[in-house]
Amino acid sequence: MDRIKEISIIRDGLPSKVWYLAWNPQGTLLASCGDDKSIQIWKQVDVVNDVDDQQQQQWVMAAKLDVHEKTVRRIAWSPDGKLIAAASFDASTSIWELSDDMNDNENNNNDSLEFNHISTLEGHQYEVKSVAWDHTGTLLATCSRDKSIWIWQMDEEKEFECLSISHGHGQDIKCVLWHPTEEILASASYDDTIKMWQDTDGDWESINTLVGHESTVWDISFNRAGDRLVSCSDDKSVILWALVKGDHSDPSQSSSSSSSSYQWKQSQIFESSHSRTIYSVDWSKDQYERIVSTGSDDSIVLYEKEVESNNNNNNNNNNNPDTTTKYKKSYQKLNAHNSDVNCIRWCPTRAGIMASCGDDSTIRIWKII
Amino acid sequence: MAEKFSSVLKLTELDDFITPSQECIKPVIIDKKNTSTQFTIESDGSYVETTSDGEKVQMEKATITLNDCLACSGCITSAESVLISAQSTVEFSNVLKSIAESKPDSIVVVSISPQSRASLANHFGIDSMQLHRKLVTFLKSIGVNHVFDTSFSREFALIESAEEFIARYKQTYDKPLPMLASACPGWICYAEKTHGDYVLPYISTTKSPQQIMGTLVKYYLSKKINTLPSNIYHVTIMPCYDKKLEASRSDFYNDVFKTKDVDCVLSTSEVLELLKEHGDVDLLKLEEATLDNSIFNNVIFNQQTGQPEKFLGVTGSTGGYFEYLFRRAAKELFGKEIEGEIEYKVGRNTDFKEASLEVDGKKVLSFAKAYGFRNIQNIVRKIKTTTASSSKKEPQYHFVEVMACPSGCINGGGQIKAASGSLREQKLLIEQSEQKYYQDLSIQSYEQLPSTLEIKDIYDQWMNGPFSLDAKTKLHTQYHMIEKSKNALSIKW
Amino acid sequence: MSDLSNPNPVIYSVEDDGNLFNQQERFTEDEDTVDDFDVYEIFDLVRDITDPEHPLSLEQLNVVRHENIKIEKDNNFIRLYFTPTVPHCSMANIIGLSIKEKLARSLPQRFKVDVKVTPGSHSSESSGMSNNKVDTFFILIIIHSFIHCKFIVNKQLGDKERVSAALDSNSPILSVVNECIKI
Repeated sequence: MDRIKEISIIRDGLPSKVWYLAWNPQGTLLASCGDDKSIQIWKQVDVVNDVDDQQQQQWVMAAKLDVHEKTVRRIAWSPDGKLIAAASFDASTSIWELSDDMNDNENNNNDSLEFNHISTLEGHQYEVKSVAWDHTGTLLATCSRDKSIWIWQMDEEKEFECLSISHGHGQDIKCVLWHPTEEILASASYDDTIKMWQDTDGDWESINTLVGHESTVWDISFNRAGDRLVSCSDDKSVILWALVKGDHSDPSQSSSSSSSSYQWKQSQIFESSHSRTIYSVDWSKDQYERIVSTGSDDSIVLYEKEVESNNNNNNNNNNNPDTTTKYKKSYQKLNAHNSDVNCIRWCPTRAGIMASCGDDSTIRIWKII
Repeated sequence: MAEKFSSVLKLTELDDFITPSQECIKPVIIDKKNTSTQFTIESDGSYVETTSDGEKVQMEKATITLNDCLACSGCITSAESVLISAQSTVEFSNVLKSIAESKPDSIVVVSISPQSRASLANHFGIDSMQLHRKLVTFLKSIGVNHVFDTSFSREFALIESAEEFIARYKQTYDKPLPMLASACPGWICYAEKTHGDYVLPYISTTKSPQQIMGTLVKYYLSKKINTLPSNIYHVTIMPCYDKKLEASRSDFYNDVFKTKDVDCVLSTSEVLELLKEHGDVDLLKLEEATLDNSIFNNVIFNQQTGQPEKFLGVTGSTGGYFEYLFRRAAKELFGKEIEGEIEYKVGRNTDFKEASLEVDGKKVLSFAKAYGFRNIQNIVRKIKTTTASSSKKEPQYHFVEVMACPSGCINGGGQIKAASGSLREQKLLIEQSEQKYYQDLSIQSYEQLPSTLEIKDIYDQWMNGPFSLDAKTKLHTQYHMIEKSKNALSIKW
Repeated sequence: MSDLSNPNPVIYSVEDDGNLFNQQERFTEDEDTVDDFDVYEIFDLVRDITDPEHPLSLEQLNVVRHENIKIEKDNNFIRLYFTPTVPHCSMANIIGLSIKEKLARSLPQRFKVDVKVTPGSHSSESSGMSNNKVDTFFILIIIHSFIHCKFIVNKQLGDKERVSAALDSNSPILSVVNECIKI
């Protein structure tokens, strides 16, 4: 049975290569970006009645934001959905604010939205690869091929100040992502590792290095509790990691900072999950906690919790990552796009809905059935 | 070795370890006639070229000078191996040897920075004055003729900076505000390579204490002792590796005399190597030298005993620019005396501090210290946003003491490092060195500068006074924007 | 010293059967036409790319050979191995980028193209150093740096983000690549 059903497609107005997409936290808007150097904002117009799947979703372009000189690689909505940060190959990050008139516009049934370009963050030597807001919406992290991670703080006037410039990865850093509830930053790199970073005396320092992938780590995603992480790689594998607290068994870690009591251990690996590079992975924050991955083999793979059969492990300590819920690869949608799929993201408000984009110049909305 | 460069330089690709032969692509003119020849590798590894006539010619090794590196926006680390050959203890010892053997007319001068002295005094666990005198004994024993202190030239740097700042403030010097300090070569190098056109006008044109010392030694001292600038070999001992790059700038090279103002820069830690190389000298066992007060004197001598007692110096282990400029500007521009300690407002991190002066409720002077790379970013960012906005806004700051290293020069990359390398120990070491900096120091208030008659005389007789046309020629310099490389093969992607 | 990485390359004769295929037989959307000739058709696309240093084609320099092109018809995978003339990373990178870009511009979107450095030891013959007495240590360094270089080049060429960024608008690399692939 086809478990992943395409319910809508956006074709017109997209870059020829759509590198990334992001749902706003309300799940009402999609932002996308790519090699046309712009950011596109999409709005869903015909609200779909999920009872019968006959009705198709309709998405229209609500805004097109143009300021960068090169490809826009990744974008991020602030937690309140009012700001967008965009990382570009032109070595800068732009910040956009949704105009306050938006509500009026919406009431007037006008489909266009207005965004103001309020800031540009410069300083990286080379392409900025990724940008992320923390859960409070005041810290912004960017990473670049220059191997550095910059942490910016936004004040009440929306002025940005650089808090820290951190080094640790030996290569190009592909993405940064904040922990869902804590001031911990995760990063994934061309050096095949994932690192966790934390503020130590005003400098953000690497507190953990997750080693396991055999090639570039392209994307990472936390589960909703923030005690698990999923990563995908050029080595065609997807790895699940689990947080183990208070583990002092590793002597190499004991001498470093106090945060070393946090250890991330590999808990599960899906080798050859795709036949080519896996570019994107996302862990849904709804009650199903599904994982989805996609990449250069044009397919989408769904991973779901294995049916619980834990009878002897119940009273075991929860420090052992092996006792955390196992996942199984439950479905693969082949030829989801006509070319590489660069990004896939769950809708934050509607369980089972996700969006993907790729080199075939489309965004597709999917529904798990 | 690259870890000794300031973190700023390391950021601009400086952690890629490469040597000129491997990856540095200095654009070389292609000699087209070579293309038809055969080149081979001999058993000794040398490259031999066979011309069309069958003649074998040993091929020249491509060499890259520090200047090539400074002019290239590519990397900086390749300068590393160039530095080893150009400015090292080995090079210094070789020069001393050749002077001893065949150049009796040559004069060797060493100028030591107060920060290096503090670090060494802390390392050896002795007082700063003791350290200085023992070091003089050692240096003279290996053939050095004069040992000076760059606090001497720093007074010129402070006075020129203050005059320059006041002129900028009054808009009588065609340069904008905020004025950014120019003493840190890591910062200058970074600004030239990445922020060229829009940041450079803000950087103070006043030379750093090292380079002013270079000018004084090569062009004032040489006249005084009746020799040619090129007959003087001038070495400085600095808390900072980046100072080696500064000394190599073409702006500080004299074409006529074919000499650099500073010939060789040694870092503080290289002094330890120097001691080792000259027979593992135990510095503590050396006599304390008598100090010469006849020229470039920076020491107070006891009236009765004639023994050296204290160094003349200023507050601030990073050069004291902020404090001196702030107090002088307050006085000269607004007639205000800053009483007591300056009240600093600490920013988001301890390496960012600011202070301001209000007159009639209006902020008339706003100064900041921005140390370390992230704070440099924020300053550059503020300048950019102010200049970008079309309205002629008052700058947020009037002067910023910009330094590449967190904690400033006392924590320079060339200083002696904590043995364990732990962050806590390093911080303790910085504190201790900071204390040593103030040991045996007679702090001169801003009104006491110039602190010696000699400085005043040099100003009056050699330069027509501070910030005169003459002083601008001798004590000021310029900066050059460096274009990004357009050579596709040299671009890393 | 000249700054050419390889001032006197060995020049190979070109295949004269390269033009046997006429336009209709090339990549039409019809899957059925995929047959053994494909390798030659791919070869045809890249043979005339020139070396960034010489006005010589990759075919003349033996950088590309039709037997080093592999096609998996079922999933539209094309794998092309090229043999750089010298173990010089940035040079190999530019050649690899040129091949990749040329194929990307010429082939329908559904094809997945991997461009890699030919596996196996690099023939010192083609670097023009073979007939000389060379210090063993020196050879080891060359081989070592080449293996290292190959790994770097393959990973970099396989990273489509890095490739896209290198060839983004106004990139100096793009203009060199355009030079190399123009016919």
